[in-house]
Amino acid sequence: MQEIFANLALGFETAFTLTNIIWVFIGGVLGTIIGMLPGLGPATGVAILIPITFGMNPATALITMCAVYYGAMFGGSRASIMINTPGDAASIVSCFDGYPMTKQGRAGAALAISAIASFIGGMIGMIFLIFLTQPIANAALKFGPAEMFSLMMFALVATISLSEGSILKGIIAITFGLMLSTIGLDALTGITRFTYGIRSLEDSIDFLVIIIGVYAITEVYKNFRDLDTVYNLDAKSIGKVAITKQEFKQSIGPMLRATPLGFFVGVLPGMGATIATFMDYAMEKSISKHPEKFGKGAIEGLAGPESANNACSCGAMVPLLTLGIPGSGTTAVMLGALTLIGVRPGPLLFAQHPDIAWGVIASMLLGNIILILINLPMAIPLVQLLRIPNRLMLPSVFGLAILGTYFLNYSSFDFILVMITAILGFLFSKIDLPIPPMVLALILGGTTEQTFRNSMVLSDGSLSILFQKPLSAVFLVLAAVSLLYALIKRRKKAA
Amino acid sequence: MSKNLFSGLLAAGVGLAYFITALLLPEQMMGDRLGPKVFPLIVGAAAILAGAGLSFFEIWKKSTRKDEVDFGFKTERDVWVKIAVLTVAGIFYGLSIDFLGFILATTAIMLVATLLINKGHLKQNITVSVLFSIVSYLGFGIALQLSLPRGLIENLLPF
Repeated sequence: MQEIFANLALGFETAFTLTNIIWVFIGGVLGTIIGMLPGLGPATGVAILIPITFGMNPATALITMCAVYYGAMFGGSRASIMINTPGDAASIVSCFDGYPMTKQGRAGAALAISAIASFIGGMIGMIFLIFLTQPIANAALKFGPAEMFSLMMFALVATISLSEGSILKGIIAITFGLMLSTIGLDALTGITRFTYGIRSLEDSIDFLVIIIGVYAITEVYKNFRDLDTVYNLDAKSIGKVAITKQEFKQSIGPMLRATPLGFFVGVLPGMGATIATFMDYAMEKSISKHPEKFGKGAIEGLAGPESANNACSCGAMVPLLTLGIPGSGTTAVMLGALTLIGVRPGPLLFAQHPDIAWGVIASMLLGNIILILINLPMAIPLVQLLRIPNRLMLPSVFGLAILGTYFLNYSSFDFILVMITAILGFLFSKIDLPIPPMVLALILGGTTEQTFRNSMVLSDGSLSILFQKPLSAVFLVLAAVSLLYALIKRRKKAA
Repeated sequence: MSKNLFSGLLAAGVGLAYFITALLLPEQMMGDRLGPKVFPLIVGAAAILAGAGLSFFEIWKKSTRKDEVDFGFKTERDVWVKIAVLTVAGIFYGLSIDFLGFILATTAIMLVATLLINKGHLKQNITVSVLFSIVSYLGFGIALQLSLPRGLIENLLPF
């Protein structure tokens, strides 16, 4: 316990500099705006804002990324409440009661409870995060290659089995990601693989280029069909952005129930905030004395999912920071951005750079406070941004993506790669091939292969090592269980 | 053809090509001899199996019209034209930025993007393009001190 408080103090020392506070503010505002705009969302937001972290020291860069991520989580529900169009998938549930509240002339209360619930979910989620990270990071330091490989397999399998859509398509997406990760010089033997004579591929594919292609530019392409969509927004009818004592009393229970649920769902790879918010909404409705009010402007139906959403984003930081395993598309993009600036999240981050690891955690606490200060008084000016039509916003997103590509390696070849990837991402969306498992596999591919090969060397080529190590066997069993669960769930759904 | 069948055949085809390429990889004479081949072989085999499985299930199941694959080459011709132009512009940007310089190249690509996306607002598009490139140059090149090419207009820049 003492160690945790000492580390947290170190974190506050790192985070509480004027530069970092300014970047938390800037990142938070940009994240809120991007999270709010329909069609973009946190993963795209972090992808196109990667360039702003160039030239920063690792701690400031990581702190800024987290602020963008967190801001996007705060902002996601604004569009759900005001125009019944979610900023991202995790905010779909906020439409159910948020938009009816707006239609009843209670938009101010909806925006206020959304910010307050996000704040409470985030703050309590942070407390869970503070107490869980160090023990997990300490345990992970003892992992050998077999345990790491099995953990990677669990993360990959969980991503496809716990998400929606066909399992086989998820497996296909994962194999595509793993294929891309093997391109280039083999780090262990120096053999060139799958470059087909293209010298620029020898250094392997920078996964951030792929991320910018499939998240930022593909999103621009997908929005080409809705260039002239203009949302009806009556800012005058919002009223005062505040809630009454009665409304707070109604909401506090749902917020406190949603937070642990959201957090633990976030810790699991592949689950994500969308599932957390739906689960919480279903739970609140089932235990409510007035379930008939849900979907008709019940403040509880908005407060709970909003807390779950932000607590989930805290939970998602646990596997990212302690194991180096991103649990969602957004944290995968964050991992990519961090690797670029020389920070490799994982157990060693806590052992070798506790100032960075704990600085980020402290900055998230700070970010949470700054974001509520932004989102309550600035709610009305911020929602005005929803008036910006796609035809004005998309060129800027495209421009930022292009700049991001250039700043990665200053390489002309990256532009060929990013444009091809963007087209592939667009084509994949047409055949419903999921992108997040592919990106996750691409990022984890190198470590997965390396730990697999190290395990094989240790066991003289026998796969039995994966089952002989108890923890490794547990991860493989968990992977099998999550796959089985997904099969049963889909069979029930089909029936 | 349904989306699932297309995805299955695509995965099986790509997986097969990848598997064959993996088979042709040279073996090490010492140390981790099969290492560089084993993992790609497993991945290739998994892609072939998943692709074949998806195709097999799809052939047995009757797909609805909603499941038919449609890339929109005919119905969304305008979208594809925009994508094609932006793809060429993006590649050209990468090839020409060192010669033209950051500001000129960025203004050019932003002008292409805005003219395609925000049709009929020439003045607005020129303003957005020029402002975007100058602001990003000041932000990244001057404030964050990233090394950016100045190109053809090097001597004309006041900053």
